[in-house]
Amino acid sequence: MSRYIVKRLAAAFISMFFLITITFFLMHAIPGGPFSAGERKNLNPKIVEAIRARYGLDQPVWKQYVNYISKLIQGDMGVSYKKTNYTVNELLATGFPVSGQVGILAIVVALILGIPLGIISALKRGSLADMGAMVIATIGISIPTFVIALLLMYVFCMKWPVLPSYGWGGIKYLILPVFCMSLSPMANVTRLTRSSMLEVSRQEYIKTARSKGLPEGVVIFKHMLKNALLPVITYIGPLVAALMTGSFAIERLFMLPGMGRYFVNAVSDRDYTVIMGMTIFYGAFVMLCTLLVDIAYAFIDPRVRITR
Amino acid sequence: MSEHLLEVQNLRTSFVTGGGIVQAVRGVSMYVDRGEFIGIIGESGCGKSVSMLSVLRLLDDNAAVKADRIEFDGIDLQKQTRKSMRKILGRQIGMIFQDPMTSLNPLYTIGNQLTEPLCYHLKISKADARKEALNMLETVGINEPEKRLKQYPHELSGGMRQRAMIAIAMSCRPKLLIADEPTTALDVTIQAQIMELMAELKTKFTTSTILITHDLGVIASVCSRIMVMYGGKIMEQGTAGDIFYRPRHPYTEGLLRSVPGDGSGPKEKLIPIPGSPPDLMNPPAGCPFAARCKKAMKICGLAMPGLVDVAEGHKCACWLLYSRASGNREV
Repeated sequence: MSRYIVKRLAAAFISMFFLITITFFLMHAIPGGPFSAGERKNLNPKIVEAIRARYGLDQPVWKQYVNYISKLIQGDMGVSYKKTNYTVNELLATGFPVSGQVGILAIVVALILGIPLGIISALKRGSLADMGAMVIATIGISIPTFVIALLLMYVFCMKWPVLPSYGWGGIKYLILPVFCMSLSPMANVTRLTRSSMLEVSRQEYIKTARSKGLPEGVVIFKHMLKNALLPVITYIGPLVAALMTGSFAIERLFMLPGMGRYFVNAVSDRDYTVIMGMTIFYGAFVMLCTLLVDIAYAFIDPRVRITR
Repeated sequence: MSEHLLEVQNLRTSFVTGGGIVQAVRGVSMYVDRGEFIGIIGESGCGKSVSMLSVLRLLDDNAAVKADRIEFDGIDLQKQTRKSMRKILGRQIGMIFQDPMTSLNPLYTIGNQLTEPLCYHLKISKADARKEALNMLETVGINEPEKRLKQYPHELSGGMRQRAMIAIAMSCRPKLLIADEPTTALDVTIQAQIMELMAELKTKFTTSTILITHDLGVIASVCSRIMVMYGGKIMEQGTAGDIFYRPRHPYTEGLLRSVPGDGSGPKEKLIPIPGSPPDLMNPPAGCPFAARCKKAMKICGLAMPGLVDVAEGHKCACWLLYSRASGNREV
């Protein structure tokens, strides 16, 4: 097992190298730059030249790349070009706790609601409960989060003002963003659990379990659910990475100091160091989550267990 | 109250499907005596598995099962609730399925799946169940039982898995074992071993066994009584000798001719039965085999004959056996 993990980490390292390199050169291939004349019309060209030299942007791209990599190896991701006086490391260190907290709660909510809903609708296929769960799931998938967010704000912050509509501070501030964020993954988890449960319920080994005269609860939770959750776990891996690194729309609407908004702003600002930092962080996170899922898989499913 | 272990009278099972109602079993009556090994034979889709699953109520919710009587060991199975039925399944009646590749749960060890019914039905401790499981694995001829208990189904060969499956079904010493095509998915050499094992266990534990199969070779050596099913009905039933040497129904005759037989040389010809089984969504009014039967008469398409005694314990449902039939040979 440990050999497998080392192998996977080595592979992740190589993927990381490609991710960094490709992102770096693609980013520089886009016309314009953080201090290009188009953005600061009133600035004296000489001053712009001085700023570019200050950040090393006047050098050839390959040299900038070498500089960036050598600094990155030392753990320095540079300073932000637009959020002055902040290093990228600082932005991540302040943004990630917020985004991560909202994200992890959203995942927990999605699983706690989604899995039971999926089980119920699979077991009572065609019933009212099933149809209800499917309606919720379809709404969750099809309505954009910002629409839901605005609706919730209208109801819980204006009509019936019990929750704050923006800011960061306590549990109260978490409720609406977490709910909004969990809706679509919850819908997906419900649908995935349902179809997977239906698939498993048709398997021969379920008939075997019933022919043994086992109580229905054992048949459902021991023999069906464990098998049915395998595809759900596969889905959770990348989902964790996506939710924990923040959502631009949610963080913008609820004014959360998370890292989701930096990501989007950095792209339009051509804030090279922030773009790189966010990409590296997100990429590493996705790789980590996928690795964790694969390890979890090996624990649950003996067929994929690594025997070395 | 009958002396039979299992008695089924006029069993009818239908499924509601998107395309209509499929009448899978249409009036099957049968019985099994204590310690008896009987066989049900027929081609795919003739209702042989469904009739047994109906008796055990293991069918999906879209199945409707009706019968005049289903009695097991003096208990009316139709009157059982789901809960009381579970006390009988696995305890009094064991079941083995066709494909050992899929009939064991891939995520649990053999030991886990084998001790499950023991713990639930016999209420014994985990340690005792484990001891019994080891004992059972040895009985079904699995070597290194200690090691096998900790293994997962995918680590065992097909034959081994089917042995494990038999061990599970037999673990609580059921009075009746229903084996649904237990050898179909296995190699021929393994098939013989499994059949031998089942015959052995039947003698050892005096378990009655119902063997469902479409393989005549499998059924010949072990079954004392055989039922031939076609189109959801029993066409002929009798001892193995009756069915193999004195078949009276054209369908049974056809079945026997379509099997590679006595080794009468490389030139031996297999004679297939032309046509295909009837559509059970619109079953024919008469004999379901009439459309494929060479000896079919006018009446065969109009009405289904009842089972007629042709000899002691040998029954056959064919119009040819009725004395007024023109193509009749004897009787």
